Amino acid sequence: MPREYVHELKSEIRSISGSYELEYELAVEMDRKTVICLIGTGIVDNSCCGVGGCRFALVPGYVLSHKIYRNDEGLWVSQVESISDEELRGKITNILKKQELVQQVRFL
Amino acid sequence: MEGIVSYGGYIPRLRIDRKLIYQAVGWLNPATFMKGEKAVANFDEDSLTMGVAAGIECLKGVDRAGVDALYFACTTPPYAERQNAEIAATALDLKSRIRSADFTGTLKAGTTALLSALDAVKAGTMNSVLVCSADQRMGKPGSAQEEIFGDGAAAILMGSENVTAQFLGSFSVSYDFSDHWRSSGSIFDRQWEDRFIRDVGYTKFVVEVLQGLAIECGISADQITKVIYPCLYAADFKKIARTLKISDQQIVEPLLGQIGFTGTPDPFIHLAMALDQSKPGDRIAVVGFGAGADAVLFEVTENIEKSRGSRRSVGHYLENKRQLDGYEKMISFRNLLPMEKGIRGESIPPTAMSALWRNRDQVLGLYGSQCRACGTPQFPAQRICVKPNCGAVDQMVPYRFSDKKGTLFTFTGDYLAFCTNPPSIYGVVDFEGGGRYQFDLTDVELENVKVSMPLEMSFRKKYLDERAGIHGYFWKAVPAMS
Amino acid sequence: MAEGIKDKVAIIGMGCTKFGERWEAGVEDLIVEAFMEALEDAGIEKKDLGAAWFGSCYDEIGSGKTAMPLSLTLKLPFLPVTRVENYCATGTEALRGAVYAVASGAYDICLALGAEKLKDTGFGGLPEFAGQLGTKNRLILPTLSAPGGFAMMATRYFSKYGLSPEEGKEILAMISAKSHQNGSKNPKAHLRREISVDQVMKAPMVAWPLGLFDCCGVSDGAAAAIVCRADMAKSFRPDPVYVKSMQIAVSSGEEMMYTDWDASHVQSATVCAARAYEEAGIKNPREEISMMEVHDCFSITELVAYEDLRISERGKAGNDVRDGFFNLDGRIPCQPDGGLKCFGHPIGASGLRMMYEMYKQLQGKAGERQIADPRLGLTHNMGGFPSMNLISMAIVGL
Repeated sequence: MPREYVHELKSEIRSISGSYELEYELAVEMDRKTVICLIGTGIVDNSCCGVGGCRFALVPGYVLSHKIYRNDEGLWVSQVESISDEELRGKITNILKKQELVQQVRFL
Repeated sequence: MEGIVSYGGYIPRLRIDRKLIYQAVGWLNPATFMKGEKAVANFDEDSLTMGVAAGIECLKGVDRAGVDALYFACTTPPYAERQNAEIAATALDLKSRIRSADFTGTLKAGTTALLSALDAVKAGTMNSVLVCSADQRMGKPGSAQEEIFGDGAAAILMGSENVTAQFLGSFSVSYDFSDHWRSSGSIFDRQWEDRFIRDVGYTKFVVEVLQGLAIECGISADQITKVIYPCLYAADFKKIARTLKISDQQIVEPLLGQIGFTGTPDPFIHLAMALDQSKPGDRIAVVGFGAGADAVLFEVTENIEKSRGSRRSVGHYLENKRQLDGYEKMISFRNLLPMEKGIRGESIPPTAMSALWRNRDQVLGLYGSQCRACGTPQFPAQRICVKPNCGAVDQMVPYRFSDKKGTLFTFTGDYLAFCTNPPSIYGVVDFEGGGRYQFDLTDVELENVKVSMPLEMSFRKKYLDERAGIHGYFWKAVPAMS
Repeated sequence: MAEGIKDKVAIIGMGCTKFGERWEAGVEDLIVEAFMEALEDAGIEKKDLGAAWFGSCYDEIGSGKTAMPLSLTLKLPFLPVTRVENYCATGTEALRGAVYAVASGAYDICLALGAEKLKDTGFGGLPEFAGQLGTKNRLILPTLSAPGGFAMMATRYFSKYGLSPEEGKEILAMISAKSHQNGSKNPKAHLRREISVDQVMKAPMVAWPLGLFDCCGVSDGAAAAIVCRADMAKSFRPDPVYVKSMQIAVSSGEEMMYTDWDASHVQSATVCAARAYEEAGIKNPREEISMMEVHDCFSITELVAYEDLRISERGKAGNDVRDGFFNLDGRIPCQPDGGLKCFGHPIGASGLRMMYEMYKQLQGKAGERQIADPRLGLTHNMGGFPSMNLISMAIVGL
């Protein structure tokens, strides 16, 4: 189902147990379609149960229409479609793990 | 009739493509390049756990109470003092009235242990002796040994009843031949030059023992169906065959390109593979090489089909594999790369040896208890039954969980709990026949873990307390192999 | 015939430090801060105290063992002081000790104080679990952490009620966003920052499916309560808060070792809630409870607590979350002070911190966070893992 995706990078989002950052966007070509990906770093430095962190990727989905308008905050909005196919998810996960050295890949 | 009653191999699931090793450290000694892949023990495996895994395979369908001795053959045992064989015997749930011994110091320790087992069976002092053999030998980073050595294990049960391969004879020679050596306290092998090992070692001793065996047994080379011998040099491997007039069909090709040279268990792994493919009447000769050599000859009996039963073949383990994605992981699993564990990861609570003694059946043998009043199996062993509305007191009988299959009730992949290979994956296991407990999961990747997946239990290293010099062992859940 | 604790004891004074990374404060400073506020609030003197209960969990890195740290720090006049420890329910246990002592008739006025200094370990997090679980358990328990233990409950909850990971995570995110909104209004909270559901959803995983904002943190802090006989409470202040119920339920082992438990609820919490409501004479908690502070060590813990405490129906708590039922302006505001996730979680102090918020709310002194006309407040603590744990609850009212 098509849905809107707001292009937004984030510097430091703090929680009590750590923080994360969304550093850059990335386009991955897959079956002649463009998949949009967000790469970030998370730090868990004050969780009740340990210390950790990771590099991670978020995958909003296929781009249907790229940057169609700007929202009230002046951020670009695209139309995307979520990726639910397990095999395809696996392929994209492998690419992102190899190319961007992320440990976690999540599909939004 | 004496001989092999049962057998089983174990190859760890991880493989490393030798190109990864060469990419990482090949620049140092470019001549070390080798093709293929090798088997790598997971971070929670070592010689002892692999030896136990092979023992479990070998004992499938065998009455464990009938085993009179356990010999553990290995040049890389975790403990120099505290008998490795007895830890394995507890894990394998052998009775306490057994003889246990570690055979070590040379790669032919396996065949020597086997011949010692055979002597006891022939003498009638024992009915059944289990020989477990395993190795996890370290090559120095950048060495040829690092490329060659692979990890694995095999176990053979020797006895006088239901023999599947009859012992026909043996021939041994012993020499202080220092092709390679390792002094007490060091972890890496050193070796003399290859040409010396090749010309004075393999091509001489292998030929000597096989010729001696033929004379001893009064047979000629063409009467042997399969001949198993090691030689790390391909050209000389063939040369030995030519010298002994062994045809290509008789040769058992070494698994160098698939799992590497596994050391002490190497002849047993190949023997198990040959037995997997044998038929009654086949004669199989096997050579253990090191400080001289042992050669043993067996003839397969009509029991072979029945004995295979539910056991997994070596081929099964060869196929059940997953590629390790980096050289650094391999050496960090072996503690060869000092890694940052963080202050929290460094804290290992002390092991209470007296508590381990009291709970040895539960910790090493995965024994729980079963309530006589309501029949509920429970782990760990309880004095008071856990079943709501039962609560019977001291009505428990010991109950073995190690051989029970289970399903995954729930799980997680945890990025915070310290683990050598994060995320730490663990979950709750519901056992067939009843009983539930939480266990670490190993030999899995998070993306392949699913609720309700079938599991079986595997004896693994739980922790290494370097300060106290303690290797801690317990059981983890692994995906059930079909 | 046992009568229960209802209306026998009143809270007449409370104190709570600012929670957070108190690098400049030792456990002694925290104890003094909480105690002085409570003493002043109650309008009594040290000599009026009959006995005291001291709660601390990680004594090895904080105060040290025994009741002495409390007595030595406060210069208590050779009072009978008891130290209690019951994991995350430690603070409530200290209060329970003081309340029961007064109810027994042995003392008129007692002190309960919980304190924890966690930021002296050199790393962010509680000390390694394995060492705290006893000599046998450390040989057989998996390499677990608390998020992992609770994540396993989330996995079961999602699958039992047919929630996709995305749907499930969104409900958890709304719970977390609500607590952050409340916490931002609390000057004593460790973290004062509003966050959006989208920001929570985009955070990386800590233990699948729990992400960074689903997990609580580590804080330093202390909280204290002074309790007295109900019949004398009004002589100290016009607005004492009466104890309606204090209950604790500890796992029997059947959740972990028997196969009936479905892991989508906390068995001891359902038992504890039933007892607490009976003791307080509450028939319909959804109608009668005005507000709650529940143990939100992880968002899933809070979600499941809504159901275990019979506020929401089984499997329906998500609907209440979506409807804003637990928001500050909702029907039963939950975590009005920000909860463990924002106020913070100094283990031994947490139960008393929750009570501090209920007490202030009932007295109409919660400032920007004030809930309109609350009658009954509930606190809920959980120590351990869903598979083996202890739950403590308190219900208080005017």
